[in-house]
Amino acid sequence: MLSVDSVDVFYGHAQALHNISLELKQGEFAFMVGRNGAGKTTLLKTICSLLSCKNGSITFENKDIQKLRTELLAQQGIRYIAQDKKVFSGLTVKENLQLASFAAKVSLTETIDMALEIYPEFKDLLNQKAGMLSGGQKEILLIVRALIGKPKLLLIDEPTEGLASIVIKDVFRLLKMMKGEVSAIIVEQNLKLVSQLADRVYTLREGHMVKEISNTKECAIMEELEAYL
Amino acid sequence: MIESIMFGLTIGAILYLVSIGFAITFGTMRIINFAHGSIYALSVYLFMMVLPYVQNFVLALVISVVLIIPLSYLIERYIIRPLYGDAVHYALVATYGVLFATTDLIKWIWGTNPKLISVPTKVTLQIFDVDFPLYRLIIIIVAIAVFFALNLFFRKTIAGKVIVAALDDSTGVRCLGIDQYRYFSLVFIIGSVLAAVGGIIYSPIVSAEPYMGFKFVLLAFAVTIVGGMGNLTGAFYSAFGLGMVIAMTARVWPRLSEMMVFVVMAAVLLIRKEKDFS
Repeated sequence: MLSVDSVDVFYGHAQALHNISLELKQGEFAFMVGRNGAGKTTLLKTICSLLSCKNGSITFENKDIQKLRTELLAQQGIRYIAQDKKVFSGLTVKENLQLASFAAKVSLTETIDMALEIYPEFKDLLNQKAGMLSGGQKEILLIVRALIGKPKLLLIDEPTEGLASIVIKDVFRLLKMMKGEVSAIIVEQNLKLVSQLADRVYTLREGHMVKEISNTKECAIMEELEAYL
Repeated sequence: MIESIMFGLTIGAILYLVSIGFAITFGTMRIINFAHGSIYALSVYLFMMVLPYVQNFVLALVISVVLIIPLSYLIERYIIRPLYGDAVHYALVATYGVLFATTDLIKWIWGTNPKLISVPTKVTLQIFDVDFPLYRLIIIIVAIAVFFALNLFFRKTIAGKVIVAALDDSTGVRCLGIDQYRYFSLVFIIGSVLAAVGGIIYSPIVSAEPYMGFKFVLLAFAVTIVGGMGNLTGAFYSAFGLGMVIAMTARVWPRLSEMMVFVVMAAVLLIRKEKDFS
């Protein structure tokens, strides 16, 4: 479904990614682990065209997507959810969903029904400014927003970062619900979550891909992953 | 005192009309658009050209504003759009170039001498025992009406919501699959129209001169900074607040009245920096 082949990415003269390759099959959840500055976010941003790569190729459903703009990729089903949990804080929760439904050409009623099915707590929050939501609720809103219009691939950057453990459970439940329905590449440091959901794990260090684990059983061994954090 | 307050409200209204487009462009696209001053100045000169033919202030205003729309589209499409996402100084230099070019164009076509435009109505009203020109009251009402109309636009329309969303998180808008640049163009044109309206309705109060765009774009910059970058309601309060600063300073020391705007801007920046630092 997605193929990243020998990609090099630079910030000015500094090389952030070196010869990175990865594969993702339909319905798979691939996790990326690695220390800060390893290049995980850079890779997600490169896949969704927020950054451009100097060498290498990125193909999605056998089409070269390197030259396509982010908004066009989103329309084709590749949605990026940033790490900073930035919702449209000046708009209400309902309006956040409305923009997503407008972009995906799905009716607002259908969108709201879907949002409430995923996270019933939104019912009392629909008319609240999204900026007033808790960190966990913001993350869930971001994921729900990205799910509208049935995307094919989600690129989720650190969904549980900075969240209380009780809220992490909600995010985990949501990711588990999505598994099999949509493909995803998720940057995550919470190894417990990774070990329970990953079909593949890619480990990055200083812009290099140091290990790929594509065996589900191996992915479940947290000790193995810990060595790369 | 009442006279100064009314003068401050008039200046504030004009500042708001001229600045709102600048503030939106800055807030959404992170572009410091000095070409906004070109639109402001050119629209006034176009108005002066059209007025003798139609002999009707409102009709001449409408025609001039319509004439300015293609120019504002061309500026957005060919000068500003290629610079979206680049470092802020690229657009600053490019749009400053446009401002220089249009100022020279004005000098070339209409000459360098200041030109006077007569006020469309000389009726005065008695407000708190002070004679207040009806025309200035109309300017204040227009600015307030524009404020509410823009609020409605931003709250009730999809285009408005896209802009509000882009003010918060422009990347988030793109990641939903929305081509925000289409909406930016629309907002750019709305901003230009308002600058043109502001320039034209202010022109009978002051004289028109080729460098008027330079002066007003700096004031618009100050309004945007004081109001909070991308804060559209803040721009309204900031415009009227700075209008009052100009009017009150003019009572004591007229030569310093406009300079005080930049003193306030510097103070606001310092206070914000302190706050951020702490």
